Amino acid sequence: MSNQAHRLPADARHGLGGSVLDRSQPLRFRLNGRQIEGFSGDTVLSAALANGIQSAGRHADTPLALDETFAPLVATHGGEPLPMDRTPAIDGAEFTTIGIRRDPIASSGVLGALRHLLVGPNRTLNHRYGDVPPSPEPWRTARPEEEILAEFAIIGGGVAGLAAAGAASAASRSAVLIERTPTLGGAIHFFGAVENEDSPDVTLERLMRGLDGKTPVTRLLAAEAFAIDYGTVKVHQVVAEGGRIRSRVLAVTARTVILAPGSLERLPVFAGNRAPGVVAALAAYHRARRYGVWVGKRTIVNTPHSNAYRLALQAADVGISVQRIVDTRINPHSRFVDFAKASGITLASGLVASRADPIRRNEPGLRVGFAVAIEDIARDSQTFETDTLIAAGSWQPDLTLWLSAGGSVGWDAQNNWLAPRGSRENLVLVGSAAGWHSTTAAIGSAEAAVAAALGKAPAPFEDIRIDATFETPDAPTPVAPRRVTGPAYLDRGISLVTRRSAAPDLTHHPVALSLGDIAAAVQIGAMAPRDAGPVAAERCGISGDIAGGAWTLPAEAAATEIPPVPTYLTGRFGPKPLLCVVTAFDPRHFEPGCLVFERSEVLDPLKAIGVVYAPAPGGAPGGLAVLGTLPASPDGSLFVRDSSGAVASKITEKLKAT
Amino acid sequence: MPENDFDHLIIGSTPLDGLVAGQLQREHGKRVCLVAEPWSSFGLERRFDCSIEPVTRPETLLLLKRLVPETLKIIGSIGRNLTDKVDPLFVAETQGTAAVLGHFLHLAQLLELPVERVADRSISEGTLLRVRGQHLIAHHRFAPALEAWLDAAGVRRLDPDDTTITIRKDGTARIAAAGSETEVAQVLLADDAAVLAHLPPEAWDRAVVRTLSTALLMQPAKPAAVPFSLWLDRRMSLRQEPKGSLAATLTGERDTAEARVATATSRSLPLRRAGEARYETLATSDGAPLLAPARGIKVTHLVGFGVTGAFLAPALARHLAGVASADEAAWFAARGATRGNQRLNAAEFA
Repeated sequence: MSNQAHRLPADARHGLGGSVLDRSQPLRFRLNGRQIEGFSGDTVLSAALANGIQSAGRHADTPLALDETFAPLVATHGGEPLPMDRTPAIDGAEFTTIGIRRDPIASSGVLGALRHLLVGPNRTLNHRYGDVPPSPEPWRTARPEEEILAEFAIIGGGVAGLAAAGAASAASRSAVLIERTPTLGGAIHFFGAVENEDSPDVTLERLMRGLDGKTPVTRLLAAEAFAIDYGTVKVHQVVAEGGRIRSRVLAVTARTVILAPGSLERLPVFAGNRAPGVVAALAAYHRARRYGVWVGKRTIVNTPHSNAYRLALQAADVGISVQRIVDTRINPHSRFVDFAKASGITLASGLVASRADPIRRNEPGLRVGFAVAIEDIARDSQTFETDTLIAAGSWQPDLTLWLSAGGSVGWDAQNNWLAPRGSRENLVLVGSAAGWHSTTAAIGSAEAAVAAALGKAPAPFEDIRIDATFETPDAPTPVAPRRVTGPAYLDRGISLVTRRSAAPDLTHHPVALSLGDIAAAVQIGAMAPRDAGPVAAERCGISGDIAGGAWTLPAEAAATEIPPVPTYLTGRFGPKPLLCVVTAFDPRHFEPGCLVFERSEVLDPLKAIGVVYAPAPGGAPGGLAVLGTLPASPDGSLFVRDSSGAVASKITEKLKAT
Repeated sequence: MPENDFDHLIIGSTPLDGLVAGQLQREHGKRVCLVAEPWSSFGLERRFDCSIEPVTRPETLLLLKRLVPETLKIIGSIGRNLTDKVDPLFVAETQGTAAVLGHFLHLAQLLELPVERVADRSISEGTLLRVRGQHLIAHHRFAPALEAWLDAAGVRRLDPDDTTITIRKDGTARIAAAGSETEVAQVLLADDAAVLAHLPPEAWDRAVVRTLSTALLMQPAKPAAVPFSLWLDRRMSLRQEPKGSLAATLTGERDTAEARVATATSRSLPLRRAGEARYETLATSDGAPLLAPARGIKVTHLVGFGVTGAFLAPALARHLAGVASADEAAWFAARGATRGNQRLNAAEFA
């Protein structure tokens, strides 16, 4: 498997060898013509990453990392568009990414092979972003092919979701657990246990057992809940059946929907923060744990919290050279800091990543600079070359579905995140999405939500926080000083909002925003905290194309020979206007709006004695006019102003209004 | 009146409200307090302020023709480049609305406004009118400059979140903010949010009706054909920003809002959704603007001033200051409270 340069050994410690892979079943497929090698259990994305494809393409001149939040859709020949991170890798399949690409002239065939030999494998999918919308996710407008009815729909298969499902099962209630990844358990191993909590393995085993309680829980894995509408959750799932891939949209209708999607890791703001090789701490952990993927042999970690130390220590244990851990906090202390020191990893503090630049085009490797994390102190540290920069951020409760279901949010200054506000009928947030910090509280909040839904008194629970005496609290997401130039994005994902574009005006930035974009905009001072909630309600949880649907123009009033005078002409020509047919001395027709004057030279509309408001009855020449007064001239002549000027006309018929 | 009290309290956050507050203070020597949401440069556009719209009453068009240059001069004194030059397009897709545009066309031609018919089936097969050389207020540039202008004029600006307003039946009010209390002689509820927040529905004029509105922000695959258009039958305004985004405001049924946009912009499809806001608005059942005392309480409420409302600001300020010209006074009188059928004489397309 020589192409899988970024795969950790199957027996890597800490379970980082790829829990969902079956290494006895290697496979090969093609992605945009390039051969990709992988294992059964891989997704198209994980296999591509393992084979060294690190970039999705470019936004203007900026290369963008390929990751779980930013990957083009893929399709097999003639197949439907599918998400790269949830589509199983299939032996022999030919996948093509969807969207605007600018491939090198020689990308496939003999020339492609020659290019591969001379300049190395292509490490980018060559997409171009920014000018036109990314390809739509067609399942968002698809009709569900199956409906599942249950007492509880639980979104998120992490600790809180498992606890909610287990509580429902124990109460003999039907529950459907929807998890977008192929594994359950979420990030429990990443965060570990605090105080006297059970170890993650013990907790997880207990929670998993709970799924098979009195009423077994229905599990939907690799299934993304993308909309909630009055108790119905729409779910998109990609499945492999008989060597073929298909997706399906399900509707899960439940009396209570429990939202346990967890937290999102914010993107530190610095120039080059989306360069290939820059990865979030939690994403790096999941890649390794699920798929045994780790890019390169050298890693630098920049973090505002202690959890990334654990990841760094585990990476070091599996043979990754952890060159240094750079903490944004000044002189942080925690047991993990001590462990890292003891293991010989170089530590630094009070610094933020200020830039990350690819060392060479189409080759792995980054040059990373750091700076003192204070805006006014213009002091940069030396730069380092590495393969992967773990750029850890602080956490943002994932309230995307909450917002799309009509929930409100507001800025929580204490936690530096957007927090839920108010409540929604039959929709409950639990776990870290609800703002809880610890495993204990995640479980407690989930069990309390189920109890409340069943009309029972919820059991009390507490949110265990490590005292600041023992562990330095998390710092906000790192933000580099502004003096470092270069595109610094506010978040991962497709919005592509940069620090520069956010500052003056996000109103006209024509893409949906992420919660991370808004949180970052607040943090860098571009957005007032009070605006964060309303803007999130308008701009987050929004997706898809504007649908045409069935709409027809308003019905016209039934045609009558003498139509009534429109209300917008009421009173304009006196209280008792006359209806007349006015006719020119030629067979022309007057259109509605032509004003009627007594004299040809008058141009003041206030001196008009009437106006044509409808065609003459029976399609006759002239027009039907409403007049305030009859012309004073002896012969009854008047002038109708049409596009050619004042047209001598006469009243040919006086009518009664209908 | 004590030194700290105000002649006028204006509650509202539209450009019209700010301009009126500023004019009252600057030109008419009134002491004005403006309670308005601080400008946010991140919210969706919920209104457009343009110097023209398809009105059918000649007195309104005459007033606008005179007031637009005056308003632009005021805006010019607030800051540079606060409006965009646009050639708005008015679209009618039924015979009824085509007749509305016909009335507007002939009035506008007599008043020598640069209006012309457009035949472009790629936009619509209906009746299209374009008015050249008009002005659209660029909110993201205008609003911050307006706030500075108001501050310089001495208008007291208050944030509704930090202000308690007690309106009395006689139309006076007490404002409590920042630990102090002040009295106000006259109150103008100057936008829909203010009326909804401070007046119960039974106090609204009978012509006022509750409506639902939707604001959409979209990313079109192709540029829209025109930068600003009003679609009468769809009750929709569309604005293509130079950066490429397409903003729409729609009144009426929410369920059909997307379809009304999508079927009108087939050339720009697909339209990727980038933002959406749904909110309550007010309108008048007869389509005419309303400036009238509320029922049972003597505050004045302002509803339905439409797209051109901001460009009526100088006249409204004169009217509130009691120095309106005869034609302005007559115009406002005709658009006052519903009594008998008086307002019908000002009715517009509704």
